[in-house]
Amino acid sequence: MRLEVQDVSCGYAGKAIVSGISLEMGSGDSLCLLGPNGVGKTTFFKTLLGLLKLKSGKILLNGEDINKWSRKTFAKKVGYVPQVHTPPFPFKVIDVVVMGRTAHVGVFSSPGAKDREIAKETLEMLSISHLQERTYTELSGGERQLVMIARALAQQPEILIMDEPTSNLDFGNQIKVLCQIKRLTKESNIGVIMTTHFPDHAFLCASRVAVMGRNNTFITGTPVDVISEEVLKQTYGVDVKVIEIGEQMGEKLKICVPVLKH
Amino acid sequence: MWDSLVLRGGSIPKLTCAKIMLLPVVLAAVALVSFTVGSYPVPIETVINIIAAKFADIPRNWTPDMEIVVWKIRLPRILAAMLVGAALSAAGAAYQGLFKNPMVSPGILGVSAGASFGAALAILLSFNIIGIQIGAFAGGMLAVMITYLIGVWLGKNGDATLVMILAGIIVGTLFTSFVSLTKYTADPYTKLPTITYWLMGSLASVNLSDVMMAGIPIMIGLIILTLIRWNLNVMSFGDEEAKTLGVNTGRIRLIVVFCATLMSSSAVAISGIVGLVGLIVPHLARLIVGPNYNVLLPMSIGMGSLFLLLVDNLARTLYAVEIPLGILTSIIGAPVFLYLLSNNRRKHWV
Repeated sequence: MRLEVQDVSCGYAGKAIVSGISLEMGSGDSLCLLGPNGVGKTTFFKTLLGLLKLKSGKILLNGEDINKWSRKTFAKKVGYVPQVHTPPFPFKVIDVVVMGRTAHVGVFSSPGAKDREIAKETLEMLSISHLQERTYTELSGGERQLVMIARALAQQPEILIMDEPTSNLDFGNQIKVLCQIKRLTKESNIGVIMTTHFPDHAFLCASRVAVMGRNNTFITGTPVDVISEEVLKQTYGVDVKVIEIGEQMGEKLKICVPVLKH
Repeated sequence: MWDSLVLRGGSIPKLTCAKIMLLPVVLAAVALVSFTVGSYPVPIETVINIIAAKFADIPRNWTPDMEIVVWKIRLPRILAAMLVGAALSAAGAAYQGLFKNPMVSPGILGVSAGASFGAALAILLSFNIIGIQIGAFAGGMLAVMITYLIGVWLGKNGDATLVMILAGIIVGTLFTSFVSLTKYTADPYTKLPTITYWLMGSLASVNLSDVMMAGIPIMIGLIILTLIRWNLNVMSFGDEEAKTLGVNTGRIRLIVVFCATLMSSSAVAISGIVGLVGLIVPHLARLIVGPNYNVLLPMSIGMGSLFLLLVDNLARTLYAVEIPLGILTSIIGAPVFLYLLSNNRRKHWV
């Protein structure tokens, strides 16, 4: 799998919010997208997902221009994990995850027994099989987020695009989701793109990072290279100390510690 | 075949299966009993004999009047009640999924207001019964077409669903005021009562050709909606999520709106305005079998037929004079709904 974003600009009718974005990633990569509120991360994501029309530039997946793809074709390659919200009807968790198989099923059909098996496997993969028969709308935010990830995985995509998968989660659930993301990229070779408000998450589970700054700056690279005190000051406007604290699983580990002023 | 249509892809507990299988049985039983009740009662054995006589040689021990009542009066009425009930319930159920809102009824895009205007105008212009039916059908289709086009035109960069609902409110209000205008200019001794009674809804003068004419578009709509019902599950999570899960939301929305409008317009053409069925029946069905459209849609269709058949039986048997159908669906439907809501407070769906 190879995703290439070539000199892309995105925005709404008439106005480009971000432009000149280029990045590349392959199977097993996990890319963290950092940036301040309102800079255009969501706009970029929506454009990646085909929900907003591309203003200029190209997005290629495995060499093909995704602009021409039908929604079904796209959903077979790209899975989207949205931020958790409350749907209007009390579906069972297993039914919600089975909806991930819609792309693999004709418009006049419903997912069958084989699709339900795949859905159950993704629940198993995320260790939430025990939630199968529960009502989705009665779960906690963290459990729902995991169900959303399971649903996207049921699409059997090559890339997973996750919109702030750790917001609304308690500390423990945040770590669990980050672990899952790391496992997915290592074991299933899926590519992951996620937005996050925490540079530390990039250090923990990302192999690449992209920092979208105001004034249309866009820096990409590995987390240890890109996330520095200058970049964080430039992007977020705050003073942060970036400290190296040894190694984890054979990789350098850094953390960010904010400097609070009186 | 029924099993494979209903059971694939969803976890259907045995109890729900039983509930679903029971429905056609109950429906057939109620339909049979419906032949016997009315201002001209016919004993049940006679009804069975009359029907059987079409297929086998049975000595005729009933009067020709009874035969006419069964075939020419009761049969069309029973079929019409079942068709109209099924059409409105299916449309309501589909719209509730499409617009992600269990409070939505088939009239939300303006079909009822449009059909009312079409019929009222036809009555004003002294059209015959067929003309009034065509007027209602055309009015319903026209109103929704306007709503849909406004929705597509204005919803390009925003939430297509929300814009369409708002457009429906606008178009509905407009056509409702046109109806008032028509009533205002109508002759108060002849035309106005006709318009008023038509708007109250009734299956009293329905005949077999009406059933044929409305039945075909209704069956087409029911079949198409049943085929695409899985997509309604996905659409209920929102336009963006549905798209990323692989649904062509624009196309599904068009198909659903077209089918629902085709069915509602046809139903209203032969029955007049019958309210509340399309809102309540899907709700009742959802309380019984859950929100999965794989079972919810067939259940709504079956329960809608049953509900309207029962109400229409009451309409023609409760008093010596027939009570208009639209009035009765509301008077009966509202307390039934309230009762079920209060009994199921713990199961939230909203």
